Order: sequence, then structure tokens, then C-alpha cells
Amino acid sequence: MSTRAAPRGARLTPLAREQRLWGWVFLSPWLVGFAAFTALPILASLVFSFTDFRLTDPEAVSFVGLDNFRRLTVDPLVRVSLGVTLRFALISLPIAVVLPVALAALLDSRWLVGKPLFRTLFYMPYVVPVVSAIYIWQGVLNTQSGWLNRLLRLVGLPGPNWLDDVRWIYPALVIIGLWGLGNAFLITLAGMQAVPTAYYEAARVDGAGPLARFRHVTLPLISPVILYNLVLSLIGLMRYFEVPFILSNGTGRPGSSTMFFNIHFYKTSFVFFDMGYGSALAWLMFAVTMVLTGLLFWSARHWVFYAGGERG
Amino acid sequence: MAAVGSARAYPTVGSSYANTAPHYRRSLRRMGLTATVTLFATMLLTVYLMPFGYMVVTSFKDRDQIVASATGPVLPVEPRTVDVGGRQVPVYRVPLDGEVRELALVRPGRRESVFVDPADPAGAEVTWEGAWRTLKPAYVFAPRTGNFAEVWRGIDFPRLLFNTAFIAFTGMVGTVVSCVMVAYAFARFPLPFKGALFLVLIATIVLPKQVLLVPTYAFFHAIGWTGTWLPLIVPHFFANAYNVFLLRQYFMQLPPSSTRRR
Repeated sequence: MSTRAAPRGARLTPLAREQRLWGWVFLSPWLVGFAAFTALPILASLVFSFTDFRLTDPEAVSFVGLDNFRRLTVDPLVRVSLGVTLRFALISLPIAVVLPVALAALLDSRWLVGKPLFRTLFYMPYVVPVVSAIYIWQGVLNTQSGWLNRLLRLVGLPGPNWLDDVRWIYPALVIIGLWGLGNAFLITLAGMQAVPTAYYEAARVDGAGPLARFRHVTLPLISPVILYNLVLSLIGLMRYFEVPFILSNGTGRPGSSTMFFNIHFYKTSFVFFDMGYGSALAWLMFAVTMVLTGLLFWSARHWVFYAGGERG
Repeated sequence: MAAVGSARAYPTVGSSYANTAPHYRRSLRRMGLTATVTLFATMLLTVYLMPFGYMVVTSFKDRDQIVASATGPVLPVEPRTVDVGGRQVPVYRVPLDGEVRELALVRPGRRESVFVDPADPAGAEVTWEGAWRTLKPAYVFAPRTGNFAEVWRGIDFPRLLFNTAFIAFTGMVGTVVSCVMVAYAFARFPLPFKGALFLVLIATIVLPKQVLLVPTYAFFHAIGWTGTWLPLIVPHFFANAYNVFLLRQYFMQLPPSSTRRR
């Protein structure tokens, strides 16, 4: 693709011009949709963040300059909720990256009988609406009657107080999150199946065992999918909301261990109807996530391999 | 592998000394691996889907049974009672002579109580010494289907299913068509500002949906779409960042030679 290297302003070849035209045509659905359904609301929210707009009193709006952003620096809940989000990320991000790969490897194993059935059943929980899944898990994780603790008692282990103990709430959230694994493992599996078998045969001829083939053929070739999972997990963590909100009704219990950033944002905007400060919080969340995502994409240059040849 | 090699070293055809052991050992190993991996996956799946079991079992319980199951059995049950002389009496699990028997309590007492055999209420009475309140009740399996009837009566399920199916189908068509187009453009076409545009696309994933909620509603209201299905359907035809990102990753994973112009 020599056309890509053509410097801007230089005369384009007819082929490059045609490709550029079709490129814009192909891109146009998103460009139009972005302008209408995303850019406009974003601008509105940016404007809100400089006002004292309240949903309860939408007529009385006045500009307050940078007051909302100044408040970010003194609001103790900002520090608490960012800390909570970060601490939970340290536990759940590695799991969110490793588990889909492990599960996909298991379900792609040639030693597994009944693969289609296993794949369907492992994907099934992902189809359950989040809210009902959380209610189900709340029952399963109940200290007394929950099936998980009954199971633990069967093997002689004391069942912890999953949902009301500061030490166990994060493992509990991770367990509940396992039901959201379906999509990540499915696309990882698809990525594994897209690896040309010729690579494995070549590696086998070179004397690579199963582990070496996984390490040196599978992993590099599915690294774009791993990057996808990692980015989406990170973003999902920054806007983690449904599970802690339903479990503790937004109180942050036990302790303040479930006062995630998005819950603080939600309560500000839709419980206290303070849309102005809420918008400022949203923009802070946006900035933090963009920086972290940017770092991930920057690091991707060193560990993500695109067979298509392009980097980034 | 070495075992296979040694097997070939022997004359195998027409020889009574053909050594088939390596062959069997290999297929045994294969069977063992298959059994191990499949068993492991089955155990994993059982634990993973355990909440579904909880959901199904709970759906067959009425309110009292759910309360009772906090300390009682897992399955939907009710305390067993039996008709003794025209009145319903509860059945308890009574330890007698080293075994536990299910007996109907006819005359409770503080120090000792009188029981009869539920299978033979008119038969001999059994006196048991001890406080009857310490005994565990006997249960019978009693699933309740009332919850299902309540759901069916409470909502117009066929109508809801049609709504969901219609919006899901049109949304799916729109999503697939638009996202494939956009992702292909991002993966393959040489466009100016492509990198920056892609970052903008990823950034839209980061945006908290709640921020956009009020302005988006105002926008749909302004163009007269509120109260219609249009806001649920039309945006799908303009691609979404998640699927564009995903498809772009796949397109870039494919060698360009498979799509390059010939």
C-alpha cells in the first residue's frame, strides 16, 4: 500500500483518490450518526458543566464559570470514589483479561467433547438482563441460604458474608461480573479460530509443543482481540454502575467500598438533580478514562501484533 | 512419538508378534485427555450456571416457602402433615432407638410427647421423651406454579415479545450493515485524520450514557420522535463504536493479501 505514504498536498494517484472517496462513503454512517446522536448531546453537557442547571428547576439557569470544576478538587467523595474504582480495577482487570482467553482456549481444545453445547451454555448467562442477573446472584450469595455458601459448607469451609463484609465485597462483585464474560470469551474464541492452521503446522514442524504453540502462535495473533477486551474492561470499570447500585442502593455499603465513581455521578445528577456539577463529574470521568485508554493504545505498540501489517 | 517410531520397527503385518501396545497406549492417552478436559469443563459449567438452578427452584416457591428456605431445605417444600382422627397434625423427624423416624405429633408435651405412625394413624402410639420443639419438621416436595400464572396474567407477553423481536431485528440489520461499512473504512482505506477520528470513536464508548440522557431526549423531542419507535431503531443504522472497534480489530487481523485489489 504505497498510496498511504503519499504526503499531504502531493498529487494523488487516481487510485488513491478513488480509495479516499470510497473511504469517506463507508465512514459516512458513523459521521452522520456521531454528529446527530453524540456530538450535539456532548456539547449540551459541556455547556451544562459551566452552569448551575438543576433538573428540578430548569428555567433558572445561570453561568457559574469554573465553580463546578473547582468543586471537584474539594469534594471528598471524588477522591473516595476514584480510589474505590482504582482498587477494584486492580483486582478485576487482570481477571477480565485472563479469564476470557483461558475459557476460549478450553472451549477451543480438541480434547473437548460437545463443543457447540459447551459454548452455548457458557454464553447463556450473558443473555440474561443485567438487573435480573444481579437479583439472582444476590440470592445465590446470601450468607445463610445462598447456594454458594451451602456448597462451601458441604466441603467444610465457612461461607463468608459476601455482600456485607468489606473484605469480601470485591470478590463478590468479581463473581457477579463473571456472568458478563460471555461476549469477551466469544470474540476471543472467534479470534482463535481465525488463526490460520498453517501457522500451527509450521510451529509443530519446528518442534513446538502445545504450550509453546499457544504462547508463540495463538497469543500474538489474538492480541488485537485482547487489546479490545482490555480497553472495554477498563472503560466498563470507569462506568461500573448497575451491580453496586442494585446491591447497595447507591449507599456505597459496606463501608464506602462500593461508592464507585459512576455512582457518585449518578446520585449527584439524578438523585440531587444537580446536572451542572454532574456534568463536571462526567467530564472528569471522561478525562481520566481517555488518559488511561490513551496509555493502553500507546502500550499496544509494544505487545499487539496486527497480521494486517499496520500498527496502532 | 518415540513409541510410535519403535512400533514401526517391528514387522506388523502377518506377524503373530506384532507389538500393538504403543498404538493402544496412544489412544488410551487420547481418551484420558478427552475425559479429563470434558469432565473439567462440565464441573466448571455446573458452578457457572448454578444461579440458573437457584432461579428455577425459586420460581417454584411461594412467598412463605422463600422465607422458610432461609434456614430450611433448598427445594420447594412444605411441612408434612397427616390426618389423624379428622385433624391435621404435623409430622416431625424423631430420633428413636438410633434411627430417625417420621412420626405424626398427636399430643405435644413439654417433657414427653405422643406420636403415631403417619402410615397407620389408628395404630400404636409412640411416646418420645424430650422437648418436641427441638425436633426438625418433616417436609414433602411441594412446587408451586402460581408465579408463572401471575407473570402470564400480569403482562401481555405475546405483545412484548413482538415489540422486542421487531426492534431487535431491525436494529440488528442496521447495526451489521453500518458497522461493517465503517469498520472496513477504518481498517483498510487510506484516509486523512483517520487516527484522530478513530480516537473520537473510542472516546464515545467512554462517555457515560447518563450524561447524554437529558440532551438526547431533548433532541428527539425537538424533532418530534418522542412517543415513537424511531429513537429505538434509527440510531442503529448509524453504527456504534463497540462493534466498529471489534470489527476493525478483526479486519486488521486478516492479511491484506486476502482483500487487496487484483
